Amino acid sequence: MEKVKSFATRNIIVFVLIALCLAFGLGSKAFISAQNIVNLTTQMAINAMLSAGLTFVIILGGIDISVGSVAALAGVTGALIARANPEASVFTASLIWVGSALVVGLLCGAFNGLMIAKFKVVPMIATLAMLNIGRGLCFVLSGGSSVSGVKSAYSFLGAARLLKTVDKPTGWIPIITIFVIIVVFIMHTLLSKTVFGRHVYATGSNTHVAHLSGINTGRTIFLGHVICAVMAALGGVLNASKLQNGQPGACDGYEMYAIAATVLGGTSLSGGRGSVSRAMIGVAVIAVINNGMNLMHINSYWQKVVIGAIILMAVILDMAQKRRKA
Amino acid sequence: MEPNLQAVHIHKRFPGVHALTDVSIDFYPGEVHALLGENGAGKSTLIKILSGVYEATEGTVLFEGKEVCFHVPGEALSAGIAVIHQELSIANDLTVAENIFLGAEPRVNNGPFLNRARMNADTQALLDQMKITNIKATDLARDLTVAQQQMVEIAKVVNKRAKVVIMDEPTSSLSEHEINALFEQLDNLRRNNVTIIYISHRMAEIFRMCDRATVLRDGCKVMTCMVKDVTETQIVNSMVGREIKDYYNRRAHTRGKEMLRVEGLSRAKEFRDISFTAYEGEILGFYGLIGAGRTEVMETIFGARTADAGKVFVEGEEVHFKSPKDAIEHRVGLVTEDRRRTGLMLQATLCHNIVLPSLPYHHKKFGFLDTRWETNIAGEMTGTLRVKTPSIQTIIANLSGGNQQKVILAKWLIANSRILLLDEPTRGIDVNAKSEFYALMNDFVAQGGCIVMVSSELPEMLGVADRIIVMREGVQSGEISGAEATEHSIIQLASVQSNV
Repeated sequence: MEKVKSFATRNIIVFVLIALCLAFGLGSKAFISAQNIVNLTTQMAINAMLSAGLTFVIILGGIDISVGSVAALAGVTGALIARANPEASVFTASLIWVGSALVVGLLCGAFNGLMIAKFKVVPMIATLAMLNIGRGLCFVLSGGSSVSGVKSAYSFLGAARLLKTVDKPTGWIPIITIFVIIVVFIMHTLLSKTVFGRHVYATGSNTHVAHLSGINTGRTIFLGHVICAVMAALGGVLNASKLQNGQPGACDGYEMYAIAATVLGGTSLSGGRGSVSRAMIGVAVIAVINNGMNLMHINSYWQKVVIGAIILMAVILDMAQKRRKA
Repeated sequence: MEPNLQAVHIHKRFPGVHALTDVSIDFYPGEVHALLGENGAGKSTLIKILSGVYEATEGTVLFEGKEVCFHVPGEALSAGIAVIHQELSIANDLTVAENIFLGAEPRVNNGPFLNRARMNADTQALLDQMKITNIKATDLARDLTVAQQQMVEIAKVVNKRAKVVIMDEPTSSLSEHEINALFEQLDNLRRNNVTIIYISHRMAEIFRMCDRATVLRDGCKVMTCMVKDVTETQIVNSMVGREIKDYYNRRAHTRGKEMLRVEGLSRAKEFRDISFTAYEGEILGFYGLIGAGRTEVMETIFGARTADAGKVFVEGEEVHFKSPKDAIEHRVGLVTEDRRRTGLMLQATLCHNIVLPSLPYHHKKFGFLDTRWETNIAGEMTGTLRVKTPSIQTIIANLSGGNQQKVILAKWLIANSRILLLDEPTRGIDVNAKSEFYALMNDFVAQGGCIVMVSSELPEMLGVADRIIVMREGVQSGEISGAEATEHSIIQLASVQSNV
């Protein structure tokens, strides 16, 4: 009985996901169509990238609210390079996207990591600074308007699909979904199967203990932020590739979705607990809620209110669980 | 005379633990009543119930004849029951007067504005009345010594006209003449018909200061007696409940080659000029009062703090530990004094805790975890050290203190440590677990290890250490061989001399 109960509380979010799917499925026939489910995965893609990276930072006991800005900055940077290279093949185009994401991500992540691990700036404030710096740079680089004129080769990563059939000439399986699944799987492995991953958990659950056990906690925190920013930047270029342009205002407020997904997945905001795979369930819940609300024609302003409330509920649940344990 | 505070058939149950069983004690005005018992006997639970931190599961607390039920500590305090904890509750950045009047500040015409002048004047009058001359009302609490801060706490309860004062280990960080000053204040309180409930492990103080004593064991009251009617041995035996044979598992050690040599180690404001050598096959004790700088010395040797001056040699070779990582590579391990804060990842499993320092040396290619090695070694070590746990996947917070401490020791054994720095290794664990832990320490030393043990428990120091180094206020004040050491000789070295 005890086991059943603990299984239920640990996996409550899975039941929530199933319940949501059933509810929306009954409410709207369009929801359970194959078309919509495939759409759902592409809608999840960007948030999946952001949340997977953010999971590292939150397990470390920190927070990164700059992921939306970093994503946009990577998108704008990539789009600028893309516009300058209109002759690129599909392969080169994809390399350009990924390359600019890596550079932007590394720089922004290193900034956050340095501020937090070296200069001991509170993570919320350090990444708040990054949020503004990143967003500002987006507008500076793009001159304030969206970077368009990107050739169609550049849309491969974000919008192309495999398995073209007669009744679906655009194809069934989105490249973006495959890309995200692979990258997220690598992140999951990194966190759960490697010494580095274990060090992330150790640093997050008790920095003193980790340090006294010989872990370079500063470096672990630094790397965690780099991973988070690189993932955000990759999410940003996927978004830019999908839209075939780089918008300086892109991914605005996405940090909220990413935090919501990570916390819904059971990652503790006080650090030490969580996993990438479970954050993905959180991502699915957020996507289903958004998608369901769209299908039910709920106005998008209200959707923000709902997401805000959900984050709050998830955090209250987390704190309640913590109190019970203490 | 009527008792003014009575515990009547108190039971307290926590999930899985019966912390107090049918405890009834009467406390009388004008007595100093010692509350004795081993760690885990239920002393702290009892004072928490008396002071309103916990509610009793069954039974009642009578205060001045009336049943009381305090829901928050503030209520107990305003009723007249004050607790002075071992960790003093002094706000460092406030003045003495502000601390004493905290929460009851005098106001100008009862308006919103603070009447600082009156607060300072009242405080000074209070200090004068208590004949405390070395503290001024306007001193910043941060600048006071621990003993002075304790005086401030006592002034606070005098000011609140508390009728019952509970003191938890008040002398643990005081020198001899500071203890004398404290006892004078307690005498004054006693004369004013205040009840003092006094918790201490130091037998000498019990016999010097207390009128009656109650001994608790495993949550039950064993006896209440007049202190003058019993002997120390009687009290100790009733605390432990049985004769512990060969408690310290003392064994003859053979001293081998030099393992750790420290020369002139100094760190500003913490300690200076510490020099000693520890050898293979010996337990070197480090004794001193709390605040003497022992913990700081250990952490500096381990690389967790940086030394301002001095050299450290491991097995004859000079080392420069920039971080604990370097120390671990040289097979040095540190067991910290605060298990919960700096020893364990409380919400992680036993297995994850036990292998943490060893991960960089035991993994598969590309940094992948070797989980099979982890479970094997964790299982093996918990077996060897007889850690009582449902499984190695148990969350470490759910183990008892003694077992947690064994896990921490195992952590360093797995990391192949040869030199172990143990900082108060038996704090807060029960008698049996202590005895087992000493045996493990002896095993480690017998196999060619070297232990430097910090402790403020004198009997433990005398029972375990082969040599004892005494520290006083950041300097080394002497070294005594274990065979020659007596409680008296050590305390003399550790206490600040009154003529200084």
